[in-house]
Amino acid sequence: MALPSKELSERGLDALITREQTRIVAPLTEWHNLSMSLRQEGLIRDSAGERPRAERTYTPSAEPVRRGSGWMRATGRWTMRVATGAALVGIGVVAGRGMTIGQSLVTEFQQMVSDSTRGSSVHISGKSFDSPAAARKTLVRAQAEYQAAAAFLDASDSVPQILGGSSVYQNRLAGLDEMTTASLTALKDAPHDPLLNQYFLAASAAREATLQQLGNSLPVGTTMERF
Amino acid sequence: MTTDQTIVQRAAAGDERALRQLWMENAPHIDAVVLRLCGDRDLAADVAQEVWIQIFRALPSFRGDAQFGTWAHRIAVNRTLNALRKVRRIAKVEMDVEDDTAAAPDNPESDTERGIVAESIDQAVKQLSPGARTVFLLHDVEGYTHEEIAGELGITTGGSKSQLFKARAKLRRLLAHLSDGFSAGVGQEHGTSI
Repeated sequence: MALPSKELSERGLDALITREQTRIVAPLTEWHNLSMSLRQEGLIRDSAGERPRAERTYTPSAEPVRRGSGWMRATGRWTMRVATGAALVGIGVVAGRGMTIGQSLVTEFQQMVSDSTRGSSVHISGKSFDSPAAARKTLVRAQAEYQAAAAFLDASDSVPQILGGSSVYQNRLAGLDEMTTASLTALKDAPHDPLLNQYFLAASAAREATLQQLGNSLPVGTTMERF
Repeated sequence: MTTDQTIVQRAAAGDERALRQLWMENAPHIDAVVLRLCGDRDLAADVAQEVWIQIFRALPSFRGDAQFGTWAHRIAVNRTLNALRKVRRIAKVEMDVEDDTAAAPDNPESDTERGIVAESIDQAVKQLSPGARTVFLLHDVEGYTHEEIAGELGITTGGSKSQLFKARAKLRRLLAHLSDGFSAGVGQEHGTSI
């Protein structure tokens, strides 16, 4: 039996360094706090940006939210980087579309996630992950497929109109708020956990996207006051 | 004009949406740099706020010669090192560097290392002395040259090279248990670029 090495090879260390170079983390600050400082510094000038729907006033009955528009491209790029998390957040999206897709898909997805945590070699839809590189490759492909599917569902989804427009997005936003808070709390105990970071980033990205959808669904003459 | 430049121009004019877009697109990378260098999440959160204010304050000087992310990365490193100096951590780093360059060879079986099995390079880096840690991160992870590191930390290039050599050697020992995962390609090792 081979004895364990006393040192990692130079090549092995370089591989770890390469991985570290590409590591991303959930933002350490919140935009709300940063923007307050930027305003105090005079770096944000309210007259500088275009403010569509500024003439509208809207106060949701339950949880008032502030409009967040124009962020789809940015959140899209975040989502591209956090495929696993996005897919997991997708549970919530799928659950929200339960009327058209069905609870069985949620259960199936949860089972897939559960299976994926049981060992180093797992099978989902016939895929086998025997190495980190193989898993990462699959992750990249999965994120592209997830985005395409989410875009298609967004474009063809009629549920929000059927259920009364913005109330669907408000409910979704409330759920995503809880997910964001929960993942942020978990990150305080394990700040470098890559899976928790992916959850947080994905929940944040989905929340921004929902804010955009909510903003677009509001009736003319209304605006969100806080988010 | 590139997209970067267009957004930066709007941001420099005080457009909150443009500022937030730059932040959203770059915070995961910039904040990772800040967190790596600080090594402490609470401190890093404070520093990150300062870093982003500094980046936005410097926007009018962005000429588009490099990508915004690359330009912001330099500011982030510089500002973080300045912040660390303020909390007197760099002072200790500089002292450590001078001490280490004159010290006896690193003891591979030191008490610090015994019993510590780092699960990741991130954990292992935290076991390094502040000087070796900063030099390693700046050179191997952030891509700084020894001359640039010497300028940033106020040390000699020889001191920087020495710190890097010791840092890599210690990391290889701390991460020895990961050898199996990198067994392929053994025999093609290359030396440290110092």
